[in-house]
Amino acid sequence: MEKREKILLALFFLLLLLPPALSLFTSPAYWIRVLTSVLMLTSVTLAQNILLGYTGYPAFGAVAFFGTGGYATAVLMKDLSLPFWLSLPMGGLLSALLAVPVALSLMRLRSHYFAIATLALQLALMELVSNLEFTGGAYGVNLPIYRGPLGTLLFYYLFWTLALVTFLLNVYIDRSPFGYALKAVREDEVAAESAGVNTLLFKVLSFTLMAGITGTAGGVYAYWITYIDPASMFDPVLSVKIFVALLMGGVGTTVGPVVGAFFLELISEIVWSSFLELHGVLLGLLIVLTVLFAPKGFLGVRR
Amino acid sequence: MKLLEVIGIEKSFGGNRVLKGVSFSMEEGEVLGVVGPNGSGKTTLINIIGGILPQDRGKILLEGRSIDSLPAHRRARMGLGRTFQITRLFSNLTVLENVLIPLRYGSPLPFRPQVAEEILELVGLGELRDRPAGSLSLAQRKRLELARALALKPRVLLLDEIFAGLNPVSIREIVSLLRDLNRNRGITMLLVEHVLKALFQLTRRVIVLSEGRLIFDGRPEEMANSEEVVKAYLGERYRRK
Repeated sequence: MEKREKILLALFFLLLLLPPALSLFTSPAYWIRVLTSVLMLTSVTLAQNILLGYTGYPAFGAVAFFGTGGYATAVLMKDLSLPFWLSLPMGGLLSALLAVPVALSLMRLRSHYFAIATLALQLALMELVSNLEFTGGAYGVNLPIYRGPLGTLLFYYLFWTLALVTFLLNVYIDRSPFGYALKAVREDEVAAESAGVNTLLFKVLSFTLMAGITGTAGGVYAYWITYIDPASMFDPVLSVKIFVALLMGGVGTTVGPVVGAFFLELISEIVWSSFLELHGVLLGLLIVLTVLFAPKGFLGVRR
Repeated sequence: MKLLEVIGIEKSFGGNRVLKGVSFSMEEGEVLGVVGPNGSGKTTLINIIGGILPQDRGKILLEGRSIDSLPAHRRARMGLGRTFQITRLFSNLTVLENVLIPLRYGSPLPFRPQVAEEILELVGLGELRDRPAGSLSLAQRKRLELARALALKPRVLLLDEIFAGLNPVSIREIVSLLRDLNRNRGITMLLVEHVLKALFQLTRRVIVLSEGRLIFDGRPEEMANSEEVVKAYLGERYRRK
């Protein structure tokens, strides 16, 4: 593992101790909430990095799977009264399953065409869920409030785990034969085929991994928030955030997406609380500055 | 048995008939040159044999077995290696990684860095192993494409204008490398080529394509005897006096 990856991991493990440490000084509820959403963005950004960073396909509508996982988890808990611990993996799995036919049909498109097609899927699913009976229609689903051990800290630790696992997966992909196949697809699909790489298989695998992780994040989010509706689970703002975080941090690096997600979510939280009216303007300015001065992201080395 | 047989290949792009029924075959260990004017269908032919493009009609046999239904990566694993006229490297990866990928996914050779390094030494890129492929010169890129194809332990190499744009020194080096590969490793080669001088040092058989048709199949020195070849490709100054 590279030095900066080790540093990041060390800092990451410190995050485990942060909640109890915070509670020594203040009531930590606010910061725990902020950090939980930071860790959520970190997970989905790292998931997108597997697809865009290593495989070269920008799934701008990845939130389609966030919503699928969230709704699947919620409906399984509510209608079938399954426990969360069963509903969550099933929600993630369902998102991954949905990803297979989607990948097979959409991954003949490339770059912005592919990005727009996935966004269309996200918006179509939002409409679909708004009009189905068992998903609660436009009204949404109310989930029971979690009252077990740890309280809301549970969601902090769940997202922490998801982010850690996804980070390690990124590290593995960065330097394994599996990753070589993905990168070959990213660099040149025709050349990859001529080198013996089954490009269709690796495209589907990469897309499915992304969807499964994103769907799992959606499931955790649904139970954390306890009330979900189509607009919040298929939110295009989240799509934008994932891409801004990824581009800021550095596409196709292991550490970059984490740095990008932390930076974006913390900065926007600070800006939001101090400049309520100017929030959008300042955030936009920040994005423009990043594009101008660090077009490859803070840690970008490639592309 | 013939190693590679191409039977009645036809291909159209829209209304443009690029190949109008091309047939030829190659013996094991043979070096075949494919020449013809621009747009005569040479690259399309290589793309069809390699599996990048599907043909409209016709068959391709490798050792008597039809490979028409196999995708390109399966053909690569069967030992059909190729290079591209306009190089298609994994530009953001290192030179070594470019060779490791076919070694891992398309080759019977062991997946070990030493094996990749030996192949790089063979094509003269040993020193550049850790450079990003995108930073190489044209001549080096062509060598790397060859290395990538060699990592498949190919039985047939399809080389699409490998000499185009190279200086005489590079051409000489690659000619002698290819001759060595053919003689000592028995690799069969199909070379699409405009650099006839280099081509004729390697091959004793040439086919000529013109407007999607095969108009000549024979020894290089007989090319100038063919009225059709002179008219379509060589030009009047090659006409036999």
